[in-house]
Amino acid sequence: MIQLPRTATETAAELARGLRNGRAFRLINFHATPAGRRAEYRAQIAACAGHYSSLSAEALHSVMAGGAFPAKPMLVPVLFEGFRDNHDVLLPILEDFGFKGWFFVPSHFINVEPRRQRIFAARHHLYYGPDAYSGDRIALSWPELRSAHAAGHLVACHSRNHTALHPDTPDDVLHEEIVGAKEELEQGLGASVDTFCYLYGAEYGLNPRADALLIEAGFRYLFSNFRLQKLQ
Amino acid sequence: MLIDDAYLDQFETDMVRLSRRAYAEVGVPMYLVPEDLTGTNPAPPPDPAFQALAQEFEAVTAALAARNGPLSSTDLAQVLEVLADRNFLDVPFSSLSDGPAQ
Repeated sequence: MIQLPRTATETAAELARGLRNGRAFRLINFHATPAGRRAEYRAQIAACAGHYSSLSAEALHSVMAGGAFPAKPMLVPVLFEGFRDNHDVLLPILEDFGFKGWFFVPSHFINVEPRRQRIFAARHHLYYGPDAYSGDRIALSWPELRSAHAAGHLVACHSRNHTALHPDTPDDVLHEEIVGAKEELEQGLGASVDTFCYLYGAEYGLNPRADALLIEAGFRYLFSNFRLQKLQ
Repeated sequence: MLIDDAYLDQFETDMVRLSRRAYAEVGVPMYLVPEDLTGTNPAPPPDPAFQALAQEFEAVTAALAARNGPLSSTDLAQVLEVLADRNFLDVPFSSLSDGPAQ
């Protein structure tokens, strides 16, 4: 499912060069974070707390502008998909240990009415485990996302409908999933968003028309499977 | 860095084990390499902490290609996941996991 603009061998050589240059971000990628794993998440984040600091937006801008990495290595907890249990289960743990989470949200998921969110999730590759919210919403709400953002957590765009974008995807779909997603996310959040991640973590160069829209929409950073790319 | 058969066997065993995690609900450590596509920023100062990681990544990917044929993108992801699992903490990150989906 992971697609690359060059061969895996060429990509491996590029990544090795990048690592040898002495810089890499450490991420922990989460998706749904069910309450049944609360103790597991707590043990993992607690173990990281002694070793790592948070990556703030300011630190990201500095490092990506050529600045030195902070003396204490940074850890980026990434919360993909916009599930409600990210707020209810993982966020309090991150806050207990002083980490800032990065929420990568398919903007429209939040706007789907609660009784249809499970259908939306099933049709848009939004996978979760145990369903702790029977009869209620499974997506984050806008107040929850705004509250997290106000507390210093980061919000990024993960398309509008969690749609994979291919080189032959029609222009109107690309526009909705990139430009429309940014507008919807910024309207709901009440703040600007400058970071994007394609579904399946595609990197820059795989889909030139989509990449051009990222630039046009004003995105500055692209998270992908293996790279964090500064676009502009 | 020397990669012998025993090392590579254990590495591939870890690749398989970690690939069977419940990705939808567990935390997965990973490395991301920064890349400036604008070409406007100065070269970053080196960080010795990542030299060993780069060496191991190169050695493992070369050994995997020699053993199994051309690398796939999934191979790259799994190699980085194993390295991250082993190196983020003093113990493997996955050792702090409850295991399969509940």
